[in-house]
Amino acid sequence: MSQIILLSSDNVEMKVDKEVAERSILIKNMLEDVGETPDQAIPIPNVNEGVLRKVIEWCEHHRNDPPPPADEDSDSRKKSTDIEEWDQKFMQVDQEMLFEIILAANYLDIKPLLDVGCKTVANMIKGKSPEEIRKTFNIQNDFTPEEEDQIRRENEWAEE
Amino acid sequence: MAVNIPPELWLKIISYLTYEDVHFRLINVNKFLHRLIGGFTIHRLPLALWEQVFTHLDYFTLLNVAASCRLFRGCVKYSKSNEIKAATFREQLLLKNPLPSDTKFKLHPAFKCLRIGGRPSRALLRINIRDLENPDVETASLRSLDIDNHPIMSENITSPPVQLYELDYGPSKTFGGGAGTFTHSQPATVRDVFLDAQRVTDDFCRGAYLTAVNTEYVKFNNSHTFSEYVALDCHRIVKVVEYGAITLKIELVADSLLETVYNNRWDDEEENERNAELLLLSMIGAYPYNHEV
Repeated sequence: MSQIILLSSDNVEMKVDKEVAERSILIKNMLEDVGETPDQAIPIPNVNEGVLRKVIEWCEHHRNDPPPPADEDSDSRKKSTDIEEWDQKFMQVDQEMLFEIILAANYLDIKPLLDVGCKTVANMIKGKSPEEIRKTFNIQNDFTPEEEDQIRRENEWAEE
Repeated sequence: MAVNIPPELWLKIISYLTYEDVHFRLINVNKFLHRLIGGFTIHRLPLALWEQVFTHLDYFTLLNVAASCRLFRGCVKYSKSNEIKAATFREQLLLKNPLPSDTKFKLHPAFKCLRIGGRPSRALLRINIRDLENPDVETASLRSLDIDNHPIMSENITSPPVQLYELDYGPSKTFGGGAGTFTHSQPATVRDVFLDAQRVTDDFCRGAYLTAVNTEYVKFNNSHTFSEYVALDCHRIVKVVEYGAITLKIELVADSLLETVYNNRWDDEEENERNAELLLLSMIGAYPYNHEV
């Protein structure tokens, strides 16, 4: 099985099976453009070693998965609780790493991983009040007292 | 364009603008502003990725998200994502592509929480669409919501949106459609149902109401005869009932038939009702039609 070398943003080289690396559409397209397996390391400038290792771990586990459905509106996309057990455990990381994985999945164009990351964050939001959401993600409340009052009145009906 | 204004001043200026102005207009002015605005992040995630997170949330969670900060509020309110539009009941009506017969509908949560009423104290609201979740909602008293200005009033009654619905109330029954249903092809909104509910709970309004083709309301004594077909503009809506299943289809109608409608005026109320009935039926070629008057 042919292997390629990925180079993280902090200059760490990692050998990966080509098939695994090609879970990333960005890398797959790059390899297709080159035409043959490159001898030199492929730089991944936006992803550091720790995050890249996590992403490769995910790609290894899902190397035989069928390609994601092209239909953007498929029902599975809408259910935030619908996360495989292995993926749930995989995503049990600190918040900083979780967001790094989402950013890396987006940059490397790995839609299923991006989806799992987004669902995980969505699950962190579910059932929380606006104040709890702010606290969870360290968001500043930038509404004026008048705006806050208006929003509270608008949403009153939903709280019963 | 004064590109030489430093980024911190732009950020100050942007803080005074609406989300829509910033993210749909200013962002397209030049590369500098595109980079500046496109670089807005919360917890290091750009808004486009937060939007993807929000596609997995339901209506009530999105209400809370929109109440947490300005960026999230704008992101939910002005999202162009189909999933978020569906979750917040803001989808457009697809006139050119009728929904397939096995389409599943979601009812706006307002109808699970809000109470509409009058006399008698309990009314039954039935949004009569196939496979609708929780189609029957008991209603009691009209809450003090501002029907003209409350944001939920402009939201669709279902997802995907529909134009027609039916409202049951005691012995009477009304068939409704959005205020612009027959002229602008807009989906039926929460406001439409509220107004219909108010109308039908009034003792003096025990008939069925349909929005007329020439934008005036036409009153009908017997609603059942109209439930199957309604014509509007250059379209006709066909409600097909087969083995208890209801589907809605929208088809094109010849212009000459519509001219007949726009040129007609009636003074006598009874005559009005009868003529409107016959006209609607003839427009859609529904003769012979089994109905009671």
